Amino acid sequence: MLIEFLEVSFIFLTFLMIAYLIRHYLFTLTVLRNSKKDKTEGIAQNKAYTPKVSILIPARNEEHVIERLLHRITELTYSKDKLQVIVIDDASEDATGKIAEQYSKDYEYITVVKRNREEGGRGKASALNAGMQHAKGEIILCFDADYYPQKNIVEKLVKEFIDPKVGAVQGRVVVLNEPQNIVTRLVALERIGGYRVDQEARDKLGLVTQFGGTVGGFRRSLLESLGGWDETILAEDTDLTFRVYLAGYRVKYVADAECYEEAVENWRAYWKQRYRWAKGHMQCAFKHSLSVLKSKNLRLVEKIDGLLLLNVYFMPVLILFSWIVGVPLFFLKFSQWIPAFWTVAVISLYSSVGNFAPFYEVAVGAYIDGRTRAQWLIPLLIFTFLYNIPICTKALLDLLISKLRGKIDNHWEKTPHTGNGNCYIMNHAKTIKR
Amino acid sequence: MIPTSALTSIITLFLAVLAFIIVMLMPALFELKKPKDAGPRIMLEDTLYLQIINASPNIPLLDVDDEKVELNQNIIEKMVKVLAVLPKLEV
Repeated sequence: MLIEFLEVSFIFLTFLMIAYLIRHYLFTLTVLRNSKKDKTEGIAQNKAYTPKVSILIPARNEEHVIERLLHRITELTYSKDKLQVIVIDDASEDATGKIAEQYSKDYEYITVVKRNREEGGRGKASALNAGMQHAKGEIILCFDADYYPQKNIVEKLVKEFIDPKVGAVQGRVVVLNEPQNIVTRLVALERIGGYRVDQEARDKLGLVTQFGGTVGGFRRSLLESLGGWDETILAEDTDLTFRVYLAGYRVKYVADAECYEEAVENWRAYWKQRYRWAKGHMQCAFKHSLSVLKSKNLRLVEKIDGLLLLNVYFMPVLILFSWIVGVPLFFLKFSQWIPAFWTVAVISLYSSVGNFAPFYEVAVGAYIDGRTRAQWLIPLLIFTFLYNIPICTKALLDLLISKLRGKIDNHWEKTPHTGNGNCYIMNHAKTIKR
Repeated sequence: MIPTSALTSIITLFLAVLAFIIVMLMPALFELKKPKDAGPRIMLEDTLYLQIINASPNIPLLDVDDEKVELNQNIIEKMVKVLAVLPKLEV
């Protein structure tokens, strides 16, 4: 009886892996097919649409990077008459508040919302909700403090809102401090696969494009009707993505709206960041999976893709489980089917472990970006993929334990930013020299 | 006592796995040791200034040490390389 159960489990898990394999191959082929089409398509169209825009910048202990972003904000080409920038100083204990205040004095469209120790430090969602109360723009955009956008990024993002079905937009994230070390280089590869291929394909195929929490934004009316950011969820961006889709709107990915980010610099920081993502994503899976299945606003393909996206962080755990189950089955040869499924499992696992982007997505993304030399590092991604197994397993166990205990443990482990990416930004260097 | 045939199989398997790992990881190790990738992806507006500054922050564009003004050859070469890359950048 136990053996039959193990066999069925193993075969079921292999089918799940195959589903992800097919999904990622589909994404990769879609982007490859579309890569040669006109990239300027649609850019020039909606220049007349220039609504009032509020930019929210949540910042907690970001003194090393906040000036870089604020300086860049002053260089944005979007009309400053229609721009409101709100820096949410989330109970910072360093000079973040002072730097933001200085910019607020110099530029009237920049304001600072100060949060004291009692209010602040409860995570990004809480800070964003505080900022939203002061927002007057028709469109609300968000940027993390360690980001550095293109000068005309607001125009690129905002133009999509002319379509009334678009509830949110998402731009492309590019790693700034990529040459720093092996971790940043591998994170950069993950980002290439995730944005250049994964997000773009989902957008092209009309599936569930994900709002990534930064370099993007919402219609304020929609955001308000949804009740803002959910402070009980660690992946507040994924949660909002699904609430937008369930409300009958969609998220538009704008590939040419690029923004630099400062990637995590060591494996410890990588663990903390991905643990938060994994746990938050799993919270969203528990919260939204049933609603996605029942929704009348989603098409069948959106439901399938939505479920695969919601449950992606369970896959590393399930793969670990399938190995544990599959190895004795393989060697003891209980069934003639097991070796065949093992073969498929080995091929499929590489597309399921990790953070959305399997190796062929990364390779194609790097190829389209003209980064052929970066492809040499792709075999090393197996280590980050394997690293995601204990991360996701711990996240799942912690989540289940907290659910059993009836306590919600949503401690927001903030990713520290050292400002090491500053050396790649010329304007910041000029500012410091001045 | 392990039979000779089994021992041979184990050694062959071990060598095959080792060779596979070396072949897979060798390019990555080369790239890590001596990076030739042009990353990070560059937003066009910053390209020229940034690359020149990073390449040689302390070298003046004009070399007047010998009391005659002439363009520094290294800088010129770097600028030419940057300009050659620009059309390939997707922005």
